[in-house]
Amino acid sequence: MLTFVRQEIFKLVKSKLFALSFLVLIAFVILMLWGFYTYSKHKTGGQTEFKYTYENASYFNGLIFSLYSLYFAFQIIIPITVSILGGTQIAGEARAGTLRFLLTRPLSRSRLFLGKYLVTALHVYVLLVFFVVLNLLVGLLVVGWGDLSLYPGPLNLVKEPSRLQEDEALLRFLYATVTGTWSLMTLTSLAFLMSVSFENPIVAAFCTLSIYVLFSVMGRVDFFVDLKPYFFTVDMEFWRDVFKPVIPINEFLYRTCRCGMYTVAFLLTGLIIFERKDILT
Amino acid sequence: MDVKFFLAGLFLTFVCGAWYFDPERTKAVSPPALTDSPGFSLLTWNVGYFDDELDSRAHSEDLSHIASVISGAGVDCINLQEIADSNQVSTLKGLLGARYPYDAMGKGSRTDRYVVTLSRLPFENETLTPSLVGRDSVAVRFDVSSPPLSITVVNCHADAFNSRRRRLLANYLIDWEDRAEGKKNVLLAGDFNLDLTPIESSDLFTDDKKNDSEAYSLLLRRFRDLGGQAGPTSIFNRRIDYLFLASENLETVEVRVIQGKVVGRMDHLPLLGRFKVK
Repeated sequence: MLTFVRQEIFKLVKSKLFALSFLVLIAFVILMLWGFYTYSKHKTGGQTEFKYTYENASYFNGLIFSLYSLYFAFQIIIPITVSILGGTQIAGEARAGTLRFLLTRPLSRSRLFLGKYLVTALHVYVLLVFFVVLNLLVGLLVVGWGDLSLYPGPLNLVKEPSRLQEDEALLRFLYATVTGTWSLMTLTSLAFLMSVSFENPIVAAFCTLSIYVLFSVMGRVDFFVDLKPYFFTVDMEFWRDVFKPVIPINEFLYRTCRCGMYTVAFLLTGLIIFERKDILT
Repeated sequence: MDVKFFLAGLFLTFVCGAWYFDPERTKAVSPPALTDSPGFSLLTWNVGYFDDELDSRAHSEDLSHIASVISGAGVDCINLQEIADSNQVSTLKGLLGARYPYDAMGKGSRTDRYVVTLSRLPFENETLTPSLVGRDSVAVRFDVSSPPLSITVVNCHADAFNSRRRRLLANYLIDWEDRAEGKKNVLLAGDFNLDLTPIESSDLFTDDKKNDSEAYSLLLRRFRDLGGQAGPTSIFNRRIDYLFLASENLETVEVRVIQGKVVGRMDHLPLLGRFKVK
């Protein structure tokens, strides 16, 4: 199993998709910088300072930039990346005609399936750590760090103006890499389920993404308010609770368990399908 | 097979965990504490209609219903928004009998709807005319007895469609409270239209969000938001009517949204606040 995991990591690192996943996130950070810069310029009549927001001279700093960047990326760009990563794992092998060859090795299907899942989970975590560190570094170099000021409204984190000290805020970013990965495991498992259900990696990634976008959009439309508790995308939002000055432990653990529930359900279903599947390619 | 059993076990563990930590299950419901201490009570209600109606101001045929809700609440002061004209005020006062003999009306330069304050207690009133906001607010000052205390209530109705104007109103109110002498116990009550959380976790950064967040944060520098736990004040599941208090002498006994009292095509629910003098 360990040898297989090592080989999968080697394959992953050598693949174009691996490099592309990081490049996409770098491009997103550049876009965020551009957006923040033009917004500040527009709002301050060309002074290119963000200080008038919230009438707080220290509001806009590298930490708030990183938080917004992470939050926006979590809405679509990271889910797209994760859907493609997960969706290509089994279906990609099937499409390339290497799945049958892989299964001729003395390794059970369940171990192969879980080995690939483990490597993808690791990839997601590394990707998230890279993204957070990149944002923090860019923030530090461009505007510097400071305390993280939170206001009611835009990020929906607090009910009254609050502040996290710089050290505490950095620790919360570290927590966010773990909660973010846990949250994204739901989507990764769904992508794996699709990956064993379809032979084509594009179809698998497309189906995963379609379900994600559908639930995300429906979860934001009042017509579906009664259906909202059943959308896994709502539970996936728990990752950012770690940025609340006081983490709501009950709510946090509730969402953590719900994400775990969906993750395992998708994974188990995918495994059952994979074990029973007639591999023809 | 072992792996599948392990995953099934893990699934059940997460299901049990989700059940155990479910905030709805563990939420304790405590009834509001009632008191016989002398105090002050207030009801704020935007009695207008949905915006898709031809006339979204208060409708005269609803006034008897509005009067019955007011009578049922038995409060000292009522802040109404979106009253169409002074005839409606006269009709309402007539329907309420002699219980609310005092009234004040705020008009405004760019609006066809007004704020009206009705009171059981006599008051001194002042019309606040924030420039660029377009709508007047009305401030009334009461003297309640035993122990004697002066309370100022401001009836506000912020623009529903322009977050910049809402922000300007918040600025104006803070400046006004700064300027004026003798306003130690101030209650801001009305339809502020500050839309901070339309749907949990659905908001990205917008100028409207930023303006509302700034306005709300500004108000919280001086005031406490009392209706945070009271729930949505609009039939569209939004909390846009607020009660803000700046006072060391008033203690909140109860703040709640009165359910099931809308008629016609009204879209706001009445918000009730009861306070006792410390």
